[in-house]
This record gives sequence, C-alpha cells and structure tokens, in this order.
Amino acid sequence: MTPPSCNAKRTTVGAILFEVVLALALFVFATAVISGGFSASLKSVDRMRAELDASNLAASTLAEIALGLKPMSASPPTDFEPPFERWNWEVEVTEPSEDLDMGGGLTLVEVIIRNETLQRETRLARMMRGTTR
Amino acid sequence: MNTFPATRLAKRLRFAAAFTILEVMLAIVIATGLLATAMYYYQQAARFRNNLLEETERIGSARLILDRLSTELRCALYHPVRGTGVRGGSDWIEFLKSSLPSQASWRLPTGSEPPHYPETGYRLIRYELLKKPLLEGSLDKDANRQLTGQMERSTGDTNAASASLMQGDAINRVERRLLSAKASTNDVVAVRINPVRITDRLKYLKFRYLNGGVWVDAWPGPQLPRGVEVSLGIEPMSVTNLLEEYTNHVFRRIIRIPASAGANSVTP
Repeated sequence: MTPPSCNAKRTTVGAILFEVVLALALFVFATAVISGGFSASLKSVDRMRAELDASNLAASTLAEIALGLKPMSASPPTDFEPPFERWNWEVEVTEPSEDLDMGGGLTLVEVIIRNETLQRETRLARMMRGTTR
Repeated sequence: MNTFPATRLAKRLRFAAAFTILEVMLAIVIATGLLATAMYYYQQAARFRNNLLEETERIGSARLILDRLSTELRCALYHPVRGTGVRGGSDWIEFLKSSLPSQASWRLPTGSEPPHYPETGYRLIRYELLKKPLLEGSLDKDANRQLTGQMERSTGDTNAASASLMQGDAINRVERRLLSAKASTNDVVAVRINPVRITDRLKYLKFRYLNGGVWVDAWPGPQLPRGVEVSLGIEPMSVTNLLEEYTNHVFRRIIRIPASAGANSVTP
C-alpha cells in the first residue's frame, strides 16, 4: 500500500512535468506560427518581384512590337534571352473587326508572359496600329 | 531511543524541502540555454523581418522609378529651336518633356505681388546614377594600393583606373523648368532645381538607346531615339567584374518614345 505522502509527491512531480511539456508545446507552436508567417512573407516578396518582372517583360514586349523589333503577328511561346530565360512570351493578335467595334484599323495585340517554374502568367493587351519604322 | 527517528525525519524533511546545488545549477543551465535560444531566434527573426522590409522597399522603388521614367519618357520631345531633346550615357539620361505649367503661372497678377514670369510647358529632366569612391581612407593603405595597381594594369591608365574605382550609390533626379525671363523677348533661362535623391536603395542604373535597329550605350542627341532600355539593380556593379556584365537580379523595361516615330519635332 502506498503511503499518502508518496502519492502527493508523485502528483506534484507529474504536475511539474505537465507544465514543462505544456510550455515546450506552446513554445514550439509559437515558433511554428512565426516561422510560417515569415515563410509567407518571403513568398510574398518573391511574388512581388516576379510580378514586377512579368509586367516589365510584358510592357517591354509590347514596346518591342510597337518598335518593329518583334513582329505584330501571333507567335508560339518563345523563351526570353538571359537573364530572363525562365520566362517565355507569346503574342495573340486579333485583327480589326467591325463586330468588335475596332475602328480605325487598330489591332488588338495581347502579350502573354509565362513562367513555368513559378506557375505564373501575366497578360497585357493594347490596341495598336500597324508598325511604323 | 525516541530521538533517533526524530532526527532522521528532520533530515529527510530538510532534504525534501530544499534543492541540491546540482538541481539549482542544472536549472540555471537549462534556463540559460532556453533563454539563449529564444533570444537568438528573436534576433534572427528581427533581422529576417528587416531584410524582408528592405527588399520590399527596394522592389517598390524599382517599380516606382520604372513607372515614373516610362511616363516621363513617353512625353519626351525634340525642340528644334532650342536644340534640346534626348541625350544620355550609360548611367544618365537628360530629356525635354512636355508638362503642364505650374499653378503659379496661372494666377492673375495683383498690384502688391510682382508679376510672374511666363512659364512654358517644358521640363528638362535628368536622371543619373550617383557614384561614390569605392576606396575608403587614403591610398596609402596596402589593400587600396593593390586594388588601384590591379585596375591600372587592366586599364593601362591611372585616371581611368581611379574613375573605374567608383560604384553606384543612389539615383538622382533633376528637373529644370524652362522659364521665359522676359515676355517681350521670350528669352528662356534654365532655373536649376536642386537634385532630388529619389532612391538610395538601388545602386545600379543603365540606359541603352535604340539607334535604328541596334542598341547603343550612349546617345549624343538632340534627336530622340526610338526607344530607351532602362535597367535597374539593387547591388552596385562590381568593380572587379572583368566581364562588365551585371550578374545580379535586374529590373529591365523597354520604353518606346512616341514622338520619335513620326515627326521628330514640335512647332516652336
């Protein structure tokens, strides 16, 4: 038969162990939450940089089409030159049509910028007249 | 006979009530370890947070500068009478752009106030990469002397070596309003506005100009190029980079100048 003092001591030790385990669990949980927050922030910054790159590439491609450096015609996906080799561009052209109310001989040129690694796609469209050199 | 158990009980109670020195030291060591871990984690987290914030600000600065430069360059024009248009080098550009005159020029003159000078709708804008010397301290230092010697050997010129030992530090913007000094003569004087440091978070700026179908590093002007390529980077161009290619992440945009496509002039 266990004496009452031994029971009390065992209960106290058990309570302390429970407190320690609870504190550790809380600490690990808080660490995981904070680390998760930082991980999300890091991804957000990467996404911001990728968005800026994509919009720059789209605007540049449209400018190159307007400058006549790239043809104003539908083109298959093509990789960019380094340092943007992870990105590719594609052009879709909608010819002038009265149904679409595209007066003045304007053509709808849409540039599609993709990054397969980041699973990202950006589209930028502009109404353009024929290229003037 | 009864004293022996009482003493033993007292000893046991005393032993049970207090901590041994071993327990205390162990507790202190564990507490110190936990505290050190928590502090290290906190410091790392704070540093990481600061780095993230700085990176966000840099990306935001790059976006803002590219947007602003695009907007302004699209309004660039060539003034045949003043012989002003676009000219620039690899790390600076100066161009004339159209803009609405400031609010002050629209006010009616009153008797108490001096008359305002007539203001044109032109602005002369200049963007440039501000550079700082790479070497800190005097040239007497061994490391500085070695680096200067290396650059001299690679370039073969002392002045070129010292000029190349500069690296990008910030991007400045200067805006000059072309004001008429006298309404009768319509003389135009340039009023210089102090340079505004638009960012010190981007240390690399490079311009290229579309000459025909070829990109060139300098544009003598004053005619407008068909397009301008702007590259921005966070890190400065390394002085010891013999390939002369920027290997860090670059934000690049090509801007078409509409006024250059058709008539490259405006009616004065």
